Amino acid sequence: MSNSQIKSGWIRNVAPAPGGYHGSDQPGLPFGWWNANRRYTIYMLREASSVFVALWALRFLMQLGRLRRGKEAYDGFVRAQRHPLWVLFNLISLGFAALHSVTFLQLAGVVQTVRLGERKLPPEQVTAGAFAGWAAASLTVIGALLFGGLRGRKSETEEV
Amino acid sequence: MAAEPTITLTVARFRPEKDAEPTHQSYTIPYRDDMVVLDALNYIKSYIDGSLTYRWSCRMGICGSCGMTVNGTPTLTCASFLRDFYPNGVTVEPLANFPVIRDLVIDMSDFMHKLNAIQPWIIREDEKPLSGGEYLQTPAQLEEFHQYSLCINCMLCYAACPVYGMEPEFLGPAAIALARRYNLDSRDQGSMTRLQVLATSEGIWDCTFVGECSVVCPKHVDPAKAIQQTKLDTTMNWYKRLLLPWTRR
Repeated sequence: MSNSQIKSGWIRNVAPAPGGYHGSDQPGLPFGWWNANRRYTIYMLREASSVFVALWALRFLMQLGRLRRGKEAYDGFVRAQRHPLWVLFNLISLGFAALHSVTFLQLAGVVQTVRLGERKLPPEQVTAGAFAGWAAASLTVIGALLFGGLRGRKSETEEV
Repeated sequence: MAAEPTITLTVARFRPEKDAEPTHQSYTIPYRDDMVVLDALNYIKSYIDGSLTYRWSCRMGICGSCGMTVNGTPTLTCASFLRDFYPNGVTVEPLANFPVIRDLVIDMSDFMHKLNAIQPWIIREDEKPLSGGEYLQTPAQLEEFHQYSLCINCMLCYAACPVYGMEPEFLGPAAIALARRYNLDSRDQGSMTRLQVLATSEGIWDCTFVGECSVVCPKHVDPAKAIQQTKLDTTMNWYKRLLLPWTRR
């Protein structure tokens, strides 16, 4: 990264300065501005995470559609999900969803003021509470999936 | 005898009468570990090049005049020690996202205009006569806005904000933090007036919470927090007015 704002093109026009340097007349920052420091990069990854979360939501809607069309259609969908490209997509989406959740919850403590009577809770405690809630919700869902999945398998075997 | 230690400063120069755009000029000066970047600039101006132009005043982080870009980061030069960079050199440039008038001096009129737009003073609907005495406030009421009242208008947050860089119409971090400072003041009655400027697409809703404004703020004002809390408040108020219309003023 360049430590010069002039070389990286950040010094430019915003408002009129009579006789001054206006830089580019077009508002906007140079391509790759998010590489100027690590925090900008994480911000951009956080923003990009919404694309993968949205794509995964579409994939989930597809899954529901197949479920509605019956067992055969749904089994086909599940088989397709074993393809390495789908596995890769699901893993990347999971990574971005986790990044989105972590950055969101880290900021929650900053934004949300929580009071206990007269006392304001420090932001770190609010964030810690949010992370605890997230962990509990995730564990519940994982537990339900595993437990429900095992029961589903068992009843399938009994049917056979 | 050992040679006197020196440090090299690479400083942005822009002289509108002869430069089409900013250039860099290097100066090597004697180094002492108690020198800040502003001391180095003053040394250059006093002993090497009297034409170097920059703003400064108090030298103690109060006036907010000496904000510049030091090695790519918006910084108060009076609070930035050379020892943090030595033996490497230091690059000093004007604040990013603002037009440059000369050398390290930027045009702050856009910020001044935005600051004025949020009316950073106590607005009263019913001004009581002087004989009525002061508007009293409890320590808890003071605590509500105290953090936001520490802003020194140094504009480092504007230089660090990529949203402001991309969308110059954005009201910006300091102006919104100061609006919140007055909106939270128990003596103030102007929050609805300020909302006309704040709750717009160029106001709080332009911010995408990069958070760098709070990182570079030398007074720990945390403008990013002020903006997000204002978003939360305006959203809650909107729902409250929707669900409980009789509470509408």
